Amino acid sequence: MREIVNQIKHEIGKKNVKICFVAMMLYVALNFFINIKTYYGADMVELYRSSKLTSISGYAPYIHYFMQFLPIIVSIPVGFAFTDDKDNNTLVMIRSRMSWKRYTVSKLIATFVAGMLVFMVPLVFEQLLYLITFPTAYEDPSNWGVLTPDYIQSIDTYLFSGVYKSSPNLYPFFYILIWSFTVTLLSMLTMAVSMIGYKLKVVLLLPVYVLMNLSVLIDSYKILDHLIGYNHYLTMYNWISEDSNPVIIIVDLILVVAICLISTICMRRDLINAK
Amino acid sequence: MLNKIYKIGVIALMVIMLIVGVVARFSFTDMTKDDSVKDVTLTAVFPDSTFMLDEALWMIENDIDNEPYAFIVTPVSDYELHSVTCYVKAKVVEVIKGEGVKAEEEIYITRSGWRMYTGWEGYEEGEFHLDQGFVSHMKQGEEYLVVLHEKVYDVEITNHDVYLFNQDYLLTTAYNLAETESKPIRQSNEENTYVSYARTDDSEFLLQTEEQILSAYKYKRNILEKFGL
Repeated sequence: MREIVNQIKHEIGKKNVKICFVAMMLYVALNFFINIKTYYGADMVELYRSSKLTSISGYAPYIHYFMQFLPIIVSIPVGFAFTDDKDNNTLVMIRSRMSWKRYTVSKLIATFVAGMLVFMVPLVFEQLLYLITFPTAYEDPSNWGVLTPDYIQSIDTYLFSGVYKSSPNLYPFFYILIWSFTVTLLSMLTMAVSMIGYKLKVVLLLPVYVLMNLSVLIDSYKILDHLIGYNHYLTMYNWISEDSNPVIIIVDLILVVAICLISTICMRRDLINAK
Repeated sequence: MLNKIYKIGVIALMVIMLIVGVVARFSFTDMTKDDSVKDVTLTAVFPDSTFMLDEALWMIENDIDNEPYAFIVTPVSDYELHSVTCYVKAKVVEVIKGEGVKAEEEIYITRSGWRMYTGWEGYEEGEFHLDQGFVSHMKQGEEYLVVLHEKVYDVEITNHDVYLFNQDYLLTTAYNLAETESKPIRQSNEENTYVSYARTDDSEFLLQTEEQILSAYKYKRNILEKFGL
């Protein structure tokens, strides 16, 4: 347990994690100040449900740019956790104090926690900030009335729409949890890939970048019946389809299995090599 | 040193955002809770064309039998505005047609067009628009026949089923069961048919000429007869 806590502290203190956290905070701040500029002094009649204006909502002014950069951003916080340890010889030191297995397991847990913190804290802070700043309004930026059949049907196309229907106020927090979980797994995938081996550090950004963009490409050529593009699933209040929930669950499961599998294989390989 | 700058920077950014947020919070207004809302709100009256009105009424008379719900209701309050959305909460006095509702039950009724607008391009500063479907909003304590098109579950405001008038009909299908009067309400300017909401309070139908009003009351009698009232 102590090793895990130490690893978490070690990961959170890293430059990459701080850079990514600051980048997320700056994006949240930019979106917030744009909203303040747009709605300052407005009447309730002009306001929308505040969570629909937040930075990962489909209605955020710069969401499309953010989505363009996301495949790169996701890898930064914990993607290089293993290579950093290797490069600055921390790996040798840690390995002398604990087994490979314990190191790998604690590394995976620590990177997961660090990743979740980097992505979740700014977004949860943003939700709370919007609750403080904006009065309770119910309208949707689509400008369909919230009591129109069109709008009510559109709710069914949100990811995990059941949660929205039971509590529109809790939905953004639930969505942020899913969002951060998925993005952290993508970041950890970069780390797992780095365990296989690498020559140039920057090349490690490629697998996740290619994977995410491939999902968009598959959508644009309509190869599958379901939409699988990351931009659809990682944008809150996006209209996807009523049966899209399993897609993100399956993707997350595949990522978990892939990370565990790659880490285990690499760990065993290194153990054999060490003997 | 860099670590300190990072920590101070992040905390400072959060504090600045919080301060700006709190300041902004006090800047927002809520016109819908203001007593003068009716004075600054505009509502549409039917265009000055008896032919157009007769067409609209003919369409309703022909199709109204297909509507799944018809109740006699008494609003328990005047219309309620929640940010943009407007609805009426009413007690069901009698179910003439439709399932899933019983007498004495309270239901929410609205129409897609019953929404408050402001700040749109072409609107004057501080001007609020609230359409009623050319029939005055139902008033508390009076009895109405309402013919409704569908029921939707509202997750946003009421957390209840909400009954909707048919938006395809130009006129709201709510009929005051008392003997009412309607005065001609002429549009204020040539450019649009909007008039002050306060001017429409005494009229059941929001029409511009005596001829139109005669047509509307004839139509109302036919509809009430259709439902055996």
